[in-house]
Amino acid sequence: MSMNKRTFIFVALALLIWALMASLIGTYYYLTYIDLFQKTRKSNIEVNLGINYGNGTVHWFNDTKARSGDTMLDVTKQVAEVNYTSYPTGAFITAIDNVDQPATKAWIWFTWTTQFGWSLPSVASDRYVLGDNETTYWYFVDMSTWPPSPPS
Amino acid sequence: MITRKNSNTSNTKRVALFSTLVAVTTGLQVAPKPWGFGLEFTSFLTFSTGVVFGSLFGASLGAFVMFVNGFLSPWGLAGLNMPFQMLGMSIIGAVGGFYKMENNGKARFYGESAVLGAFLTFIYYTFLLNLGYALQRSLFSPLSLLEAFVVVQVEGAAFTALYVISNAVLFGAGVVPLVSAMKKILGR
Repeated sequence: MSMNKRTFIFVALALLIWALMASLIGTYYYLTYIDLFQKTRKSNIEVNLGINYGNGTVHWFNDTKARSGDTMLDVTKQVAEVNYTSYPTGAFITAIDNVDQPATKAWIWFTWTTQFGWSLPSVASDRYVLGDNETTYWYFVDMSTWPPSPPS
Repeated sequence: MITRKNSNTSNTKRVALFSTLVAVTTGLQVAPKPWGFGLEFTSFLTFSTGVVFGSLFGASLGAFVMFVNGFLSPWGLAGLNMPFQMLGMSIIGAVGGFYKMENNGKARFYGESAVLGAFLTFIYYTFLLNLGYALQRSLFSPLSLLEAFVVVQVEGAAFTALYVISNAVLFGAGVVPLVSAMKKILGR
């Protein structure tokens, strides 16, 4: 039974998409697994958390104790009062310690790595699991210019 | 005289149907989606429009809808992503015009539409949209464009998979009936 050319093309296309998607998903879960495995090896962790209220006030909560697997939002809620709205893509922080004005500013957060310095994560704070001794920073910044300046 | 009248009626129907498609597609694209993300109708409608009206109309619809979306999207301004979104959606519309679906009743077209839906969505998200994200990422981080491109591919894999699957189902189930209905309206 011979397969005509058109059918062959569509079957090949379907297999190609399946292979590429499976590879991408496999890589994604493998890297997520490695990341979580490294971050959850200890039952308790310590993290450093800075909060910059955008008015000159900066509070540092160094060596904050947290449970392994806690997210950035979990740890922030330990040290400050946090208001947020949950969306399918994650939590949007509306206020920390009741600081939510002016409306042109927003709460964003940074992580510190020795390789890249301060960088903006690509996920919401409730989707990011913190590692032991990790340093993170909340910053109430003006959103009229993008990207915002990293903490100095 | 009769032929000319029929031709005018046919053109009127084409204009009316195309205008309706532009309005519906744009409306669905910019409307907030109660389900959040993972399901969109723009690719499906743009592709079907391409099949019925030809590549030029399909591509124009896709580019127009994403242009409007760039300003009115519930996710905010598209910014640097807008040209990539416009190009991607116009490719989907153009491919619709090249796709030969002579006999809409044939069962094979359901399968072919599903595969095309998955393939075009994959190309749209992995190469075009992710290129836009990678460009932004590389501008605002120490990563090179290539590094950022690899990172966004992996980070967005689950997101891409969701759209590939939903569009495969939507194209597979919807393109043939929609194209048949549109052709019937146009009297073909």
